[in-house]
Amino acid sequence: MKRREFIKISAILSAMILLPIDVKAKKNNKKTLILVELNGGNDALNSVIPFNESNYYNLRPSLALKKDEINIIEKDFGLNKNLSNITKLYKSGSAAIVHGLGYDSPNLSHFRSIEIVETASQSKEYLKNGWISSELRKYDLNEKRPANAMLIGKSKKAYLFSNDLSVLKIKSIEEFIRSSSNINDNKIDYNINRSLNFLNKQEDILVKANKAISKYASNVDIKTIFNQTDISNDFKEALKVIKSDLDIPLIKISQKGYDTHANQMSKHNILLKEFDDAIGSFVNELKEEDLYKDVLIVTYSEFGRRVKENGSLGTDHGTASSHFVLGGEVKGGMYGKAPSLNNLDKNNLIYTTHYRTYYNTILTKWFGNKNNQFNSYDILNFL
Amino acid sequence: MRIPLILFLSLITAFSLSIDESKHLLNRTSFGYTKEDLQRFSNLNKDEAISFLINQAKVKEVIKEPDNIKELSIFHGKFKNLSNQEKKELRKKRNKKMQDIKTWWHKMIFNSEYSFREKMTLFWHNHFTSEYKVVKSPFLMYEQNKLFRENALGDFSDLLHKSSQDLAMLFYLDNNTNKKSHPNENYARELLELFTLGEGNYTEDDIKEAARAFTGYRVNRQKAILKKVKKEHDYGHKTFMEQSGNLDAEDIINIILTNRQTSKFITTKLYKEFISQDIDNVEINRLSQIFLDSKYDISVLMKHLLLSNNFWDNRANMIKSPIEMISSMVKQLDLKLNEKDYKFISRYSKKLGQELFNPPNVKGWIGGESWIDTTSLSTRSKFIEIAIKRRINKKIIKNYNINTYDEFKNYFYATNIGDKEIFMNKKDVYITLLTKPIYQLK
Repeated sequence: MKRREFIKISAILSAMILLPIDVKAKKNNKKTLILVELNGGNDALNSVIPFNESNYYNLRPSLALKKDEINIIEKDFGLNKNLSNITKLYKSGSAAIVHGLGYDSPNLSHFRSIEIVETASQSKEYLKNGWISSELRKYDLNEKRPANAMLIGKSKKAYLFSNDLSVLKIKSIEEFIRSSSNINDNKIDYNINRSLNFLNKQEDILVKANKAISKYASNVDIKTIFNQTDISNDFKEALKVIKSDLDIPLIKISQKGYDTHANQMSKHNILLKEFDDAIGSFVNELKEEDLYKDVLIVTYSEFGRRVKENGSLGTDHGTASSHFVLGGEVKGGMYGKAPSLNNLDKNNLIYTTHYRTYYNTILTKWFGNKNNQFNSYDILNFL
Repeated sequence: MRIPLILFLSLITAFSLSIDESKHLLNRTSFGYTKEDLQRFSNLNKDEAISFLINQAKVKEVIKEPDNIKELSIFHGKFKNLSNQEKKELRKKRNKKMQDIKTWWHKMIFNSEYSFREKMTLFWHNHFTSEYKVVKSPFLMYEQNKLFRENALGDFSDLLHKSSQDLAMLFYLDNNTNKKSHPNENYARELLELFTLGEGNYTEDDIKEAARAFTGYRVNRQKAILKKVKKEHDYGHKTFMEQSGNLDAEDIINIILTNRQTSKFITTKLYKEFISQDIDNVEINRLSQIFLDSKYDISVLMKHLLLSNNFWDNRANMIKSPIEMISSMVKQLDLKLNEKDYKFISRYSKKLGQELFNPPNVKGWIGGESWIDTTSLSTRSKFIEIAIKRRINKKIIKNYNINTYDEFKNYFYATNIGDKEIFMNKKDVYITLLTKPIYQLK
């Protein structure tokens, strides 16, 4: 590591060590990780295109993107033209692409694979807690932090969190305040059974969050115009939370629809465009407010898609895939080795970067926890 | 030893149901209960009550279907040849038709004469999932719904075979474009993972071979029937789960049905729906053996499942689904609904995460704690509040004839909140008590 980088990282680390306990921390000390789940299994090969690989064209006679559908960003790689904002961020150095994310003995079921990715388990191992649970547990709840994490829009708790964490789910701040204002605290009938305890806990979170959000986030002004899509709405609400005095370390957003078994081209392009538009508006205002450095956007999927297209102009479930990391602190560029298209396992990519490497990098460099459970894995330099 | 055991069993089931037992049975099987339901079941013992439900569920009669369901199906020309304005209008008409079908289903769900059959119909809808959002044809969703209803307590092997040829299913999991030259694995994978064996009980090669067997089946849009296109079907040699030959779709399903795991998988799912999300392996083994011995007779499995001690011991410890929550309100409070109310109910069940005909993905609704997050919990309260405010008046409340907290608790699941206070037969009291988390239990 270069000396300059070391100093920079130490500075971030010391700032972060203070953060969780310092309630009155200055606004710009607050940091937010945004996990974006590209639900259904994003076709990374048509997002980050290895346009010099002949097998890309051989195995995808109808789905391979043509040169004029690609923004070239590196000698051998280009981004889908619909990712125009991310292309700009890449060129200005705050977008990283991590190649070949996956794990050993890949499972091709949506539901099992997302569990493996979110819990960072082995392929045949079942874990109860998400990869980020123990990190979130360090954040004590307080007036400005009514929950350890927030789900926005249609995103589900899924496997990311452990049961002891408080997870708040909202569709929009406005709607949340409106619908939760009549809920009263209710601590009666505890411990009758697990389901009732669970319901009571959700009600507790609801009451606390209503207070916090009404007080700190009801009047946040957004200047940028966001599109009228689910993903743009979700990022708009996330922006309100980030601009407010609320201090929630993790926000999860999901974009559905990436399971493109048939007629993939137009569906996939629309999804990428909607994602990219949301990122464009979101990052634009973060930059104007000087908050971009306090936000890290990280994408993931249950798997990538099959290299070889099927007969329905689509792709079946696959294995490894490339993902995006965006943020003011991100060192743009490509990380990890791109999987070979000449050495496939049943037409599927062989992963090159373990998901635990991804998580180790985020936990070490964003949360300042170098003793995390994945620290025997590599660290990438995108932060 | 056999005779005393039977004697003993008939003794313990001979007693009439207690009020709590009736509530439990109807909450779990029938989307809640009315006062009349509780009365009717209080005269039956467990055996009689369950036989009554099962016989009731075999009734073919339905509420009259909406008119002209077929008219707006996808079989009138090609969607992409329409102008934008025409597309918009067609979408609007289809959505309206779909709403009529939803209303029709909601009505049967709320009607105790049909409730258990509809509960099973919804179970199969959530098992062999299809989404209207993807299929886009109200007619095909209706036809699929009919398939689930007609086989709700019938022969599972029949249902499985028929579901594989269901037109909505063919569209939903892309089997309609599955062809010999480049098979599409979508249906084959979900057939093994979600419909029959469960994740981990097959190989990736099994999926590939099954996908080949399912090639060439196409929907004839004009006639709304299934046809087999010979040149698209793979007649080659296949090996699936250690059996080889020129296997076709029917062979694949028959091989799956001989696998012991299929019975376990379906039994486990029903156990989780009706008894508890925490499974009891000994019970699953026992019940799945009964299911197998009955040659996949769903009514036999359901009878034994509902008679099991585990069913009667696990009371008020599951979370109602949104449809169950809404329906139990409608039934218990004897709400009189108009056509607009059904639209409102459809909208709210969608908000709460359970829109009929639109499960969230191919795995369907997971149920249990996944129903509840901070948004859905506050939305449930909001629904209860609105329903009581708008549809209950003094006269209706008087008819409940509830005068004490004890009587209230006898009828609803409610907290001990006001034991020492005097019960007030007022709307506000109903809102306060029914928006407590305990009312969300079944």
